[in-house]
Amino acid sequence: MQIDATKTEGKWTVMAVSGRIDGHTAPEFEAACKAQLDKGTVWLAVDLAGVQYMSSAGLRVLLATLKSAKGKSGGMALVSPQENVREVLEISGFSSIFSIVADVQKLS
Amino acid sequence: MSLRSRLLAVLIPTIVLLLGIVIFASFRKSEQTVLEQINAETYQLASSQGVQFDILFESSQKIADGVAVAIASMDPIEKSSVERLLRNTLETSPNVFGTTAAFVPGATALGRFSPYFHRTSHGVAFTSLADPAYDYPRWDWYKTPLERNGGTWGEPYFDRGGGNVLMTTYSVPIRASGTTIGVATVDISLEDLVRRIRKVTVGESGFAFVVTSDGHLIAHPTEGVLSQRTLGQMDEDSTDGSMRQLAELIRTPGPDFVEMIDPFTRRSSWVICTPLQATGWTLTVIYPSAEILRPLRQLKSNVAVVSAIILVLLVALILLVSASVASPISQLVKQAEQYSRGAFDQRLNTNEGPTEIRRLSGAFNYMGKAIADQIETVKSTAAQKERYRQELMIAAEIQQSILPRIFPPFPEFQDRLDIYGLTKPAREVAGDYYDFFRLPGDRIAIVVADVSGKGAPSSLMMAMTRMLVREIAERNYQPAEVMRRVNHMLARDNVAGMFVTVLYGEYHLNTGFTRFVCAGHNPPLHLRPGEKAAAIHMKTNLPVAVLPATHFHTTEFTLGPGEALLLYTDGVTEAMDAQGDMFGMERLMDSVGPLSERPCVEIAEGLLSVVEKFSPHGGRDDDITIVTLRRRKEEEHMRVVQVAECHGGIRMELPARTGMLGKICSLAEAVGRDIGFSEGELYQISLALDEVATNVIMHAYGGDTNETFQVEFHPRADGLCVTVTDYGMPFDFEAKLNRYDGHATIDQPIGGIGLFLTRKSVDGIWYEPETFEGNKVTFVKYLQKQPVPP
Repeated sequence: MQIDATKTEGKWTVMAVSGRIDGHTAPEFEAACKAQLDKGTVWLAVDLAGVQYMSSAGLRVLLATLKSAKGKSGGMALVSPQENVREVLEISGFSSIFSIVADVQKLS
Repeated sequence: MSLRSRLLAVLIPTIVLLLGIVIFASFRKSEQTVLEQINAETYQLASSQGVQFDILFESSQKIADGVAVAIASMDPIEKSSVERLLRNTLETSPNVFGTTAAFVPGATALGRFSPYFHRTSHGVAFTSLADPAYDYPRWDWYKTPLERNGGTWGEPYFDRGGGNVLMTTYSVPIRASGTTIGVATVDISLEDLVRRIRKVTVGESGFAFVVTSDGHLIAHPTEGVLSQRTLGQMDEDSTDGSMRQLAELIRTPGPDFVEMIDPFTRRSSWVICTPLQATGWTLTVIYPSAEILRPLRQLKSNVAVVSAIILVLLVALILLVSASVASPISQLVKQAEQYSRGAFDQRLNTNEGPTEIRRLSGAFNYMGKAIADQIETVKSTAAQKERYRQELMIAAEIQQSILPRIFPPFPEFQDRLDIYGLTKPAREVAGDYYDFFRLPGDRIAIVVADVSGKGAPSSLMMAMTRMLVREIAERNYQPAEVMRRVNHMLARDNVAGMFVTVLYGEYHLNTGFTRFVCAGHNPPLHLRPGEKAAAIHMKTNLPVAVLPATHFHTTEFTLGPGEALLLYTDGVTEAMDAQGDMFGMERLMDSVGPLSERPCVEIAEGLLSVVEKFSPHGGRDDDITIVTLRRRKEEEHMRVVQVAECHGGIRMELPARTGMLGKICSLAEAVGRDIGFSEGELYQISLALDEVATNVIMHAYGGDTNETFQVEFHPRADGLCVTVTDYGMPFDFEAKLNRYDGHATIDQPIGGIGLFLTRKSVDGIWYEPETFEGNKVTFVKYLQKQPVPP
């Protein structure tokens, strides 16, 4: 897994991630998300277009980050997940608590 | 251009040219001859006339001379004797018209005395010229001879008294005892001369005339009997130089024609002059050019007619000849066109025409028949060939299908092994092959072989060899024994006398230790990072199928971590370029050198493209086979500890580290893909295994440790069964499995999501804690969601 470029889209800070997010890489992912929130970002969007695989370890990081963002009166969004990842989000029920958009322009 | 027009085009100008040259030359010759002849004839005519006139004049001179001499000899000179002499002279000289003797007054006793006797129509008449009315001493005929002291011909004149006759007078001095005492004259008529000249005709309108010493013209057709004017006077009146040219010519007469404009008729004429010796006059003949050239023109037109006839005859002859040659050739051409349209049934007549044409026609007929026969043969063989070709294509497909073509061939060993192979047949089917297959334990067998010969026979031998090697090797014999048995079986029934070079290797996955048997084959190359490729020294053996009882020697070799092997057939080293140079070992080693650290697929394909570039002409007539194998450099703690077969499946022992999760997933996907799961299903299998393994590592072992756990893949006809066994802390699987219900909330307690996902991804899942073998989680995934068996 690797953290790619980060950019700003309106109030959102968009962080692009690629590769595998599993039990091995989740801590690194979590650290990256935490670093964003620590920098003062409260509206964090994660671009999942480059992520081929995500296990529950990834879901846990997303949930924890969402909680933190909400705690700071912010929010979190997921951008263009691949089909398999999206299915994981659906099955796990996480799609109901995250706003999932097809591309960064659709962030509100 | 047809033969006929070509013949005409070549021959006719040539003939016309030659004929032209001949005609021109002969015509020039004739022209010259004719002109010379006319010239000679005309000159002859003029000369003979001149001679006749000269005779007349000279005889008259002699008469006058005789009179002078007779008078001089009189002693004394008496009037009566003079008169008698003169009368006698006149009477005896019919040509003489009149005669006198005129005495110089005072020189003789006779005083002024000049009796003149002349002819009239009534006979001889006498006149005294001493009559004061005439007064002879003042006339030229008297004065001139005295002045010149010699005989003189006077200018012509008309005798008015004697019938208007054209006359001329010859006067000669009479000398006695040294003194001139008088002049004797004779008058002669020029009537005869005029008549003669007027009779002279040359051609139709040519004419002659006489020019006197003074330049008067006598008997000129337009100027009258005697011209009023002299040539000199006429010249003054004329506007061009033709009159002067004529005068000039008359002064210097010659025997040759001179071409000029006749000043009288203004016609182009040929002029010839001949002198009249006695009088100093000139006879001139003018011949109009047109009349001289008329016979020549006639000759010309005759020649032209004859030439035209000859030409017409020649053309006709050429046409006839060319037709006789061309018409059979046209027939041949027609026949050839028929052939080109595919009509081979027509035959030419071979009984007509020249021998060569008949023979050619015969050859054509033979060719037509031969082609027709050939086409029949080709037609019948083409269908047969097509059938063979299709059969060969099927054979090639079958042959390709028995080569390992799915890479990686051993996904379970992917962490330790990178292996790739290719065969490029020179023809439809190959005599080369490569193979790799698993042997019991962590071993694989690698085979590269090259059957002697090419095409279908070789491919059959190849299939047989491959089957035997696989069959015998899988019985777990030593490599040398495998080869001995394979050789024995192949050699026993080898009626075709074929043989196979084989490189057989038994590779130990965990150690890189390899036992090779090299049966007459090229030794493999050892590729080490940063070093030049090197051939591995092999103990040599006979090729397989040569002798039934052959024992094979084994070569032992250990491949270090990160190093690679390259096995190939001689199609690589013996590929030739356009100049006939072989690819050779040096080029092989140089080509793979830069690739030696690349993945095996790149080394093999890269080498193939270098060889194909080197030998692009399609002239490669040997199959090319390349196998590359690398022992992967692995971090020790991330290596699959052990792989073993178990109950028809694969069991792997893995370190309990999250870093292994990616590898476990790709293994699961590779196994699942072989079974035929879709990509979505493969993701689900990966996810399930990942979640279970994560659970084991994080919960059973409490994070990364040096402990191991086991994963077993059991492919089934209807799907895949996976068991994960650990030796760590057992846990309440059921509780954990049901902790999460799939309804996410923001305050979700973190836990149970992984097993929830596992449960949703597979068709069945069981937990068996603390068995004899440890804690086991087993899940099953069916192909296309088949129902769970009871």
